Formats: sequence, structure tokens, C-alpha cells
Amino acid sequence: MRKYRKLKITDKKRWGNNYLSLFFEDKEITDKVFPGNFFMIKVGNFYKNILPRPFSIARVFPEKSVFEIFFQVVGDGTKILSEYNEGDEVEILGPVGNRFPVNNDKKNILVAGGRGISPFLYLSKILKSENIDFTLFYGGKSEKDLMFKDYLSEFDTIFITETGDFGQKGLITEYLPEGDFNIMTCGPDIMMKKVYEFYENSDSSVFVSLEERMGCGTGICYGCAKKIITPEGVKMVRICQEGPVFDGGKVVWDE
Amino acid sequence: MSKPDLSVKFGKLKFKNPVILASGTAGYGYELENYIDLNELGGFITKGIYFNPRSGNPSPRIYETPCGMLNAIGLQGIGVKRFKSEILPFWKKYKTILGVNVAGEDEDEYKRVVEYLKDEKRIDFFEINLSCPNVHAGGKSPSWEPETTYKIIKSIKNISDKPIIAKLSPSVTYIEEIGESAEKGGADGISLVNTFVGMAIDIKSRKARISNVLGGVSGPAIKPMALALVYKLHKTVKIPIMGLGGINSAEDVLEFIIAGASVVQIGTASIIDPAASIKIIKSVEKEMVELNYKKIEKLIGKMEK
Repeated sequence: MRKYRKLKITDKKRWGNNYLSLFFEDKEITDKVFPGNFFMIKVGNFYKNILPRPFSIARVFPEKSVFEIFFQVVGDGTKILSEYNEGDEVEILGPVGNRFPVNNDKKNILVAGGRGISPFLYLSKILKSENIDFTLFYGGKSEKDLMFKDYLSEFDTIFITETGDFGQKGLITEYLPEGDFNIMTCGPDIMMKKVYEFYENSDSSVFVSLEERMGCGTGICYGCAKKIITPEGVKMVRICQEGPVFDGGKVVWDE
Repeated sequence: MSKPDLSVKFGKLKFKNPVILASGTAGYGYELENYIDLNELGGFITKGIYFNPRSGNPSPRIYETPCGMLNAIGLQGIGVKRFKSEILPFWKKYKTILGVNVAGEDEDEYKRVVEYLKDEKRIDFFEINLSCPNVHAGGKSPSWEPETTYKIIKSIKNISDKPIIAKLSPSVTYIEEIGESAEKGGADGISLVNTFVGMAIDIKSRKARISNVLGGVSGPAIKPMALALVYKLHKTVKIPIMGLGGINSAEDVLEFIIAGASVVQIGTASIIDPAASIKIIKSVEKEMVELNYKKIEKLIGKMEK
């Protein structure tokens, strides 16, 4: 049976600008987790913040059975989680959710906006180890919104900032190559929508990782549903159960 | 020490323990198969089933509130036909007592759902969701009024031999009156409470936190109010009560039972942890041993002054 398990925080890193990483050691998870998957974490303080929160997988170091959760403090839940320290335990369920579909025949393009870099940290490592051709585009407002620079220097990474204080200057969509690719993107809805529209009339396929306020993470509450085009028409589809990764062409973007 | 007896008779139904998964927070059942052994539950109640499929409300549908949550899923559902062909066969491999939560946009729809499903052997009872907004009555819930409550229960009672449980809204002035109407209409039991009407506002955008503006509040925040309503109703009606509202521990279960519920339902706690119900069953057993309670049935409504 799948269940919430108590895992000890083995390491913690503050990145500045309210970004944090928490590290855990668990072979069961590192053996099966794949980019796209996420975890539900009980943030504690049960009687104020009762709902578990979803967090994407970030880096994975399978040889040490270590995985990382990377997040920005944006609300109550992430605030509480940011106050945990090395040695503290949290309850974690997962991995849950589907995977980004890697394509071996086309070049893979990864497009990350801000904290949407999470799933592509491990995906880059997997693609490199399997000799699959890819480029990562990673954009943020300014240099302090771009993390993992050392780690990402091992891969074909193009950094883009709106201010231009690091990497290329401008918006990520100004740097995307035209052609026939397998595109995978994670970040703000508006960015993913623009990425989708950029490739809409090409042979490229675009896969997006959607976010929505979530209740259970197990498919029972229907709280996280969004409009998705299905063979039976537009339906409210659960992000946690059928997603979070969807074909961009099936997303109703004007929500 | 011998194990305490957790079984409860509820009219014609016999639950092996008093913990039932509530409608709307347990999906159709299959979603939980990887998380719990459904056979360990006292019972299971499906998501509300309308006659036709429904897409539910747009997002956002939920919002966390202190000690609870606010939801307006909008009763998204697959409709009776798919329920019969896809969900009922799934349940054949389990022995758990199965209740179907029946929803309706108007009085007729409740009847059509029960009519369609009345001969299904795998269904043990119908729970009539009298809190659905009535599209022909300005969104009023049937259980806000004694006459509508009576009328709907009576019309269904004539269709099916299976036990009919009326699930009532707590957002009323006088719950006793509504409960009595359900009893008079022929209900075999009452589920109390559904969620309380509530809302939350984002003060920056001045927009409601959920798309439907109004939603239902659930979770530990509503437990004291739910408990009081169960207590009041138990003194008024003779039919047994399924108590619910923020139950999250063995102590909560026993409180509801002592207040007058025969069995309880677990709702929001399953959202927080899919295995909550099973953990609660185990801790009820432990708690009863500690308190030297031998038979849970003997505790129903047994409050001391």
C-alpha cells in the first residue's frame, strides 16, 4: 500500500530570495521517481494548515539515494516547511502523478520559468546519461531568480533574464528555436501558454506541467481539476490523477 | 484482553465497525485502492451521482481555511450509466457495505437515479444528498425546507427496498424539524452534517477564493457544531444517525457516538491522509480497550449529565 511516510531532512539549503531546498534520503523513492512526478507533504501545524501541499521532484542523486525538494516561500505551507531543519521529520506521500514524456527520435527542448526548473534538474541528468539530445532554456526575472547554475553548467543550458543581468536578456520565448522538437515546459501558466503558441503550428509536440490548488493528491477530492480537451469534449480533469503533465494542445488556456 | 465489539446495527444494515467513508471525499472507491484495504472499512459512500454526467465548477475549487477547508467542486460526476457499467463492477471484489450518494437538480432527478439503480445487488443503501442546489428553486437545497425534504424522501421510499438515508444540510435554523420531516417521509436513517455554507475573499483582488464564491466548509473547524446538531437530532428522531463533520480521531468518533450517532463518516480527514479512516478504526479499538468499553453500540446516545 502507498502511504505517507516520515522522512528525515538530511540537508537544507537556502538560496536567497526565499528559495529553499530540502534533501531526503530514501532509496524506494529515488528508484522510482521520474521528472513530472510530485510529492504531497504534510507541513505540520495540523490545526491551522490541514491540507498537504504538492511539491515537484527537484534533483535526484540515485547513487546516494538522495532526492531534493525545491520551493519558494509563497504562503503558509511553504513558510512552515521553510522553518524545518536538518534532522526534522516530515510526512511525505509519493511519488504521485505522471511523467514528462521523453522522445528519443526528436531533439528534446526543456523550457523552465522560475521555480519551474524543478522537474528539469533531474530530467537533464537522465537525458545526458542516456545520450539523448536536449537543450534547457531557463528563464527568470533576474540573476537571483536563477538557481543551480553550477549543476546546470554540465548541460546545454541557456540562461535568460528579463533584466539581462545574467545570461541572455529578454523573455524565454524570444530565444526558442523553430523546428520539430519534443518540448517540455514548466513554469508560470502565461509562459507555458506562450511556449505552446510558439509551436502550435509546427510539428513539435508541447507538454506542460500544470499547477492548481490541490486537496488530496490522490484523486479523491476533485479539488485540483482544470479544463482539458478529451475525446468526449472539454472536461474538468484532475491535475493530481491524470496529470500534472498534459499535452499543451489539450489544455483550455483561457481559464 | 478480548477485542471490543465495534459492530453496529443500523436499521437493516449491519456495519462491522462504525467508520464509513463519506461521499465526496473518497471518489468512487477505486482511487483509494492503492492506499487502503477497502474491506477494512465499516462502509463506503460514493461521490454524489446525478442522472447525467456533470462537469462541476471551474477552478479554483478549494481553499484552505483555519482548521478546515472550503470547497465547491460542483458535484462533478460520471452519471448513473457509467457508474453502473464502470464503478459497480469494481466493487464486486469487496464486501464493504456500499452506499450510493444520490444527487438531483430537481425532485424528479433523485427519483430517476434511484429508479435506475434500485435493482443493483451490490448497492446496500442510498444516501440522498438533500443539499444539492435545486436549479428550479433559485439554488435552494431541498433540506433547507421540511416540506421538500419530506416530499423527496417519500417519493424515493416508494421506489426502492434498500435503506434510504437522508443527508441533511446543517445550514438551517431548526434541524429537528428537517430531521422529523425526513423520518416522516420514510427515511431509514439520517446523515448529519453536510458542509456548512462558507466563503473566503482575497483582499488584494477582492475576488472570492473559489470560483463559485460560496462553498462548503468542512474539517475540524466544524466539529463542535456538527456534534451539537447530531446531539439535538438524536433527541428528536427515532431513526439512526450517521454523524459526520470534522472527525479526525478516535476521540472524535466516540464523541459523535456518545452524542447520538450510531455510526460516523470520515470526510476531510481522507483528503489529508488517504489512510486516515483505517488509522482511526484501529485507534477507536485501542481507545475502547483503554476506557474499558466493550461494545460500541452500547455507547450510542449514552451521555451522562
